[in-house]
Amino acid sequence: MVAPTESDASRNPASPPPSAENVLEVRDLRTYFGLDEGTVRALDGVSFDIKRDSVLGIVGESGCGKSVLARSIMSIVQPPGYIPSGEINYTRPVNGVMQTDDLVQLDPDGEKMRSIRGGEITMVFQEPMVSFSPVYTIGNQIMEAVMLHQKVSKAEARNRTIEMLGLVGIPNPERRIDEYPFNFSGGMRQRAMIAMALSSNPKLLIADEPTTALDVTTQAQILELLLKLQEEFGMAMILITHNLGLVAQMAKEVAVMYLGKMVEQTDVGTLFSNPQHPYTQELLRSIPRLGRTKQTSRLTAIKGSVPPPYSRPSGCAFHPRCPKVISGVCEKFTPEPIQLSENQFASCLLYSDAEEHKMGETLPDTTAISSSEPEEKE
Amino acid sequence: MTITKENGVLLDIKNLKVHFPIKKGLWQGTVGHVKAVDDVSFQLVEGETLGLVGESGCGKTTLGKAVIRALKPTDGDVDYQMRDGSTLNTREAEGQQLRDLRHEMQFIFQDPFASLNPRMTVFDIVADPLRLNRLASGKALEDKVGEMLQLVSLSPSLTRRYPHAFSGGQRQRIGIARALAMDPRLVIADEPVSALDVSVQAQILNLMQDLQERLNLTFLFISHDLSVVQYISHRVAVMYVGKLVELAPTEEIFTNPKHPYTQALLEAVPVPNPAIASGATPLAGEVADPANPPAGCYFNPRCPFAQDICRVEAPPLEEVSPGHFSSCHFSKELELAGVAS
Repeated sequence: MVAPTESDASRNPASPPPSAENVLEVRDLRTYFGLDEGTVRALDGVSFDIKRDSVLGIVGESGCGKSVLARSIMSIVQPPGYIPSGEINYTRPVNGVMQTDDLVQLDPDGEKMRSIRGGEITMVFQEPMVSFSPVYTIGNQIMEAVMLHQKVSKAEARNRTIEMLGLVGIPNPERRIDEYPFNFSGGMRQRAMIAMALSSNPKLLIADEPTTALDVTTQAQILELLLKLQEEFGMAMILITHNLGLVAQMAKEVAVMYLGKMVEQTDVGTLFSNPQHPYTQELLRSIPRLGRTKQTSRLTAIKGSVPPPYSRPSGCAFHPRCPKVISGVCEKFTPEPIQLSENQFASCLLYSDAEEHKMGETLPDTTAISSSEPEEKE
Repeated sequence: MTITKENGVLLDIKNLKVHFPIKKGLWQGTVGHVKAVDDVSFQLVEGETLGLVGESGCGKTTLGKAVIRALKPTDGDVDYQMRDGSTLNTREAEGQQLRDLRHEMQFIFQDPFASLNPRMTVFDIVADPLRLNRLASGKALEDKVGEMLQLVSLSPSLTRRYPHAFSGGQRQRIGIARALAMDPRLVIADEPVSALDVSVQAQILNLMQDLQERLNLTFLFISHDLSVVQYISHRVAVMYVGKLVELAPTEEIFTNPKHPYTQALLEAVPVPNPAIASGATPLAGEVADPANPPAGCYFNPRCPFAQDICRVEAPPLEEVSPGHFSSCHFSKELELAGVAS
């Protein structure tokens, strides 16, 4: 599933061609934001693959770059954001032949990218309350998407929209298609959002915190629906969330992000049974679990908090909070992904030997600024 | 059980109702009521944490606001035992009585990014309640603010900074320091950790437990997150559309729930373990509209066990076993699984 490359590897004719098995291969993707406070490296060398029918969970806390990753794939990063380097190789059959495009190289406003965005790769946003325009009917907005990406008449588009609304479990779709977003509850709006995202039969669905704004019982309904449709449509899905419970229940593969980097990538079973990166281990330890935690026990909290993005710590960005920090090493060297087993990668200096530290010495992390965050006593 | 000196009951809520009128038309006539809190009764014992859970719109925040008198209840009584042993009916409290109540009850807000004034320094934020109540000034005020910040594990050297310089977790610590500056005995915490990252959430939960131990605080902990509530609460109350549907000691409610809605809530939480599949079928339908609730038991349209009686008659909250209250016609018959431990 994952094959992280060296951070300086850029795609060249010599590198292996993208595999037909993977719908998306992201290589060393960087997305920066030029702000007055300095350059925010929201994505700092992210690599991963996703298979045609897989569900990849991307977990991380706020500010780790998970939403920027989604926006980078969709090519909707707004200035001052830009992608200085990296590849997003998107492979799909066109007229029976596998064709690969690097989405980074496509013109974001060009015809090709516009047909991919919203057509072949679609997205479900976090906030169902603000992702629809309040002045058009739900049907109007879904029909617009259908007619943009499929060569159908208005009447056909309307039928297709009614069909999709029924598929996502909206009762009386013939009537509700002409209602406005304010007539829909949060859960219904998220269903309509999913109907819009699936109306064009996408190859890849990116769900960015699809249930964070919803109640637990509604969340359970939406998740079941997403999983059912993912299987039915045979599409790949990227599920972006901060909720480890969601990942455990939904994803097949998981990538854990911290400050713009993937710190661990593995399959979901291994992540929960045998996490290797200290951040993953601490994260799993710090969540209260239903039915397990007794009143007497204390939660193991990760000390400190996520630093502001423009003052990334030097070396391994997690080292100021890490319980297994190696002093003199972790603040100097930036860890590269290390393959620990067939299906598990962790970017941690615990698993690299001294040789690699020396290699890292030639690439000192010069852009790091010392933290301006007030100290927190623990 | 009423308030006496001996039984330790700090707060006694009896048939509390908070109804909001719905006004319509040119003359703004009242056409109905949103029954945000409808006939809720429970007690809080000094030193305990009562977790109040429910989905959005169930009235849990309104209940908290009515207890602290940010809202005037429509009906019912909230009796509170003051420090001096006297009992105050907070619904009728006015003027000086309300000011006295502020020394007894304080509120911790949900969003640490919205609940701190960005133009005030941390010192002013924490000192404000002390100044307003003329409790301290000059050096004494500075000492007290420093002490409060130390209590929540923030360095007193940061008092001249503004909220924007702090992370979410640190801001929530400031919010807690502000609430505790008045030396309250009862703290109403409205979703205090839901805006925080998971790794920081654990810090704040641990801090609240430490503070409870040190200061003998009583918490009314309002949250939608069952795993957080289970971790911090001694007892848990579940609300649905303005009514209390179940109230029991924490372990009891999680292992032996008696109301189908509680069971559905427990099943809906995604388990952070891929080996355990979450609940079989998610609850169908949506939370009932509190302005126009269904007849009978409010939960009956979504309830997998609903019978004819449920569509007609609203079940009362009854004690099914000592300390365990449930409002379901079939509380005694249903065999609900609870959460796998």
